[in-house]
This record gives sequence, structure tokens and C-alpha cells, in this order.
Amino acid sequence: MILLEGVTKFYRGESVLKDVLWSVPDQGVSCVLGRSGAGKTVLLKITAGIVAPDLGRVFFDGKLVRYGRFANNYELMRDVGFVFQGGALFDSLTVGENIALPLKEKGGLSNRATEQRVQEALQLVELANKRALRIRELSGGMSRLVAIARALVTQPRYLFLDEPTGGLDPVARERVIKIIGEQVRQNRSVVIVTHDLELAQSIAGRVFLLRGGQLQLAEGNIKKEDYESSDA
Amino acid sequence: MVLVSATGLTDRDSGLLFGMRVLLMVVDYFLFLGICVSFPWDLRRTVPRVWEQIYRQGVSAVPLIVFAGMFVGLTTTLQTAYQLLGIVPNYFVGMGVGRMLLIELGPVLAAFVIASRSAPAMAAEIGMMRVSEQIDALRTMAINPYRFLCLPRIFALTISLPMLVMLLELVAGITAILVVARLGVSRETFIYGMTHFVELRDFFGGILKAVVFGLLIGTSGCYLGFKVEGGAQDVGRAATRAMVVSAILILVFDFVMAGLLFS
Repeated sequence: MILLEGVTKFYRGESVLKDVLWSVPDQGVSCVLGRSGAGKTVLLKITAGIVAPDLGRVFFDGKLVRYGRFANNYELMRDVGFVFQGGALFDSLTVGENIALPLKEKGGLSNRATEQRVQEALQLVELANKRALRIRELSGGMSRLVAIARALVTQPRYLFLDEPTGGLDPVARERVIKIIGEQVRQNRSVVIVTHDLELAQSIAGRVFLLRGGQLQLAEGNIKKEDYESSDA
Repeated sequence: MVLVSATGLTDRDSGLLFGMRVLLMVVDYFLFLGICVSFPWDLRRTVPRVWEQIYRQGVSAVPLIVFAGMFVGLTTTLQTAYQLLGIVPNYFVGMGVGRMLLIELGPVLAAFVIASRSAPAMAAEIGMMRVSEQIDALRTMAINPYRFLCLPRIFALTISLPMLVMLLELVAGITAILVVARLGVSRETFIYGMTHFVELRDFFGGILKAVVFGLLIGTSGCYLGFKVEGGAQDVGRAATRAMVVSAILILVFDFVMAGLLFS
């Protein structure tokens, strides 16, 4: 379980997150809804241990996450798969090389086992025939799917997705939703931040609203106005 | 008279603040260097990346260094001959050119050429990776970005700059030998001066300088790339700063090392 305790984050003097108390369970889909600029991505990055909170603490399986250049969170990161909004893929590498990178760096797998895992990940996102392409040769939707494949290839316990369906066509969107559903069936914990209400309602077990820097559990029928109109 | 600025700070306060900022940056810079090159090194993964960077930062700079070496040789010979001919024996021209190339011009000019090429490129590349969240992505893949991105670049420059300096000195020396006859100094006299008054210490001192300059260029490029926050404008700014900082560090450490090695 990941636990955020009293997390506050400032951006240019203003707090985007205020005293957030949140826990991410080991299974199921948790979804955070919020309008653009509400601090969803920051919250996701703090939860995944990438960004340090200005105040408060984060616990990963009961262990305090430390930050800074000398902090060594790499053991914790082995349990995390993160899909960035822009993909964050390495454009000097091919699709296959991008997906294989975390496995090769982690070590411990033979070349054959690595190949097999990469192939499985590509099949999951239905891009097995794009393996040799460079990232710049892919469409936005395909890049998103490659990013998902790269996040899943290490078989992490937690999958973090930042706006996974943003800017996707309906076919790619359906494919992403299907993949998320499969991860839930494999007992992974999936955390999504989005402003896509339909996505949240269709797959999330727990939906949270991020308004005015505060996180609230949404209950009942959620409307767009609940999180898009203005700060709480 | 004590001047007070609009912020309420005196000139002395501003000077102190500036000094503190510079000091903090220097400390931060050396911390960064420490993190990048600290043990343990995963040699199996690091060595291929160092080779790749040696090719990118070193081997592909060879034509530029050869070109620079030719003109360094030409200019040094012309100016040394202009200053010494008719005043001292002719072999002093060979000695002057040889020692100047090995002690000062070879290491410093090669370092400037490589700094202008590699430091901005590294800062821009790493800066772009920061902006596009690729460095965050490395962290989520349990990959240490300092080891993955900076260590190979810093090592590659530290290894390849001394080689490039030797190449520049060789090309400059050959060019000097080829043109010196046209200035009224026989080749034999020039080579005599070049070989009999140059010490091994001159050569190794220059190479040691090149090692330090390589380390400084690599570290400043990577450090300023990692400092990028924002967008394309910040990436451009980091690239410019990387060039400026590298050049200043080369000059400062050239003086420090000259004092240590040749005084």
C-alpha cells in the first residue's frame, strides 16, 4: 500500500496540494478527477515517488520514501510502472528497444526471456508489428500504447497512468480501457489521473475529486461541474 | 558612501548574496560530480555507453581537431618566428613552438573546440530529456539517471580529450615543420629546437590538463542540462550557459594547473 500523509506541494508560492491524506491499495482502480492545472499530475508523481512533497510524508509498503539526489528509491521503483502524459519515450530508440530498456537495466533476465517479455508486452498493446519503428514514426495514440507496454513489461504491482485516454481516437481509447481492465484482473493496483469522467465511471473502483488542492472521495453520481467548475 | 538599492540591499549585501549564490552553485556542482562518478559502477552496462559517447564526443570531432591543429601550427609558427627571429638563435623558434603547443595551446585550444561542440549539445540533450519527462521516466524504471546519462558522457570526454589534444599537437607540429622553411628557419634547426628543449614533463603536464578539462566540460554540460526546468527557451539558455561555464572553468583551471605543474 502507498500512503500519503499530510502532503502539501507549492508551485510558485501557491499550494497545489494541501495536506492530502490518501492511500493507494494493492489492488483495484483508483481514479483522480480534476480540471486542468488542479495538481493531478503532481499528485500522481508524488505518489509514485518521482516528485518530493514540500510538506508531509509518503510511505511505500510502510517504508518512508526519501527524496533528493542521494536518496535511493530504486528498489521501490521496481514495483512501479508509470505512463506519462506525453509518453516520455526515448526517441533515439526503437519501439522494441524502448520497451526492453527497463528489463535490460534491471538485469537478471536472459536475452531470450527479455525478448519474450517484450513480445508479450507488444502483443498486449497490439503493436507487435511496429517493433522496429522509431518513436517519431508513431502516431500519438501508438506512442501512448508503447508507453503502456514499457510500464507493464517489468510486471509492476502499481500502474500509474497520467491522462491515459487524452487525445486518443475512440478505437485507441477502447484499447487502453481494455488493457487497464486486464491489469485489474491480474490483481494490479491501477491509479489514473484524468479529467475523463466517462473513463473514471466506467472502470474505477474508487473515484476521488481534486479541488482546491484537496482530495475528496466522490460518492454517488459525479457530474463534470463537481470538479471542473472552480476550486472548492 | 553606502549605496542602497531598490530592494533595500546595500552594494555590500548584494555582493555577499552573489558570492553566496556562486559558492552554493560550486558546492552543488561538485556534489553533482560526486553523485555521477561515485561507486558502484555497473561496468557491464557502463562500458558500452562510454564507448558510444567516445564515438559521439571524441571520434566524430577528429576532422574538426585536425583542421584546428593545422591552423594552430601555422599561426604559432608564424608568430613565434616573428617575435624571435634575428634576436635569438633560430632553434629557439622550434623550442618556442614545441613547448607552447604541449604546455598551453594544445590542451587549451582543443578543450575550447570540444567545449564549444560537446558542452552545449549535452546540456541541450539532457535538458530536453528533462522537459519531456524522460529523466522522470528513467527513475520510474529504477534507472539512476546520473549513472545512465552523465557517467558515460563525463568518462568519454575525460578519456577522449587527451587523445584529441595529442592529435592536435601532432597535426600542429607537422604543419609547423612543413611551413617553417618558408620563414627562413631550416627544418633541421627547427626540429632540433623542438626536440632538444622540450621535456617529458611538458607533454604529460599538458595531457593532465586535458584530463581535467575533459572532466570539467563533461560535468558542466550534464550539470546544466539537469538544471533545466521549463521549456525550449530554458534548454537554449542551458546550452549557452554550458558553453560559457566550460570556457571559464577551462581558463581558471588552466591557471591553477599552470601554477601547480609549471611554476
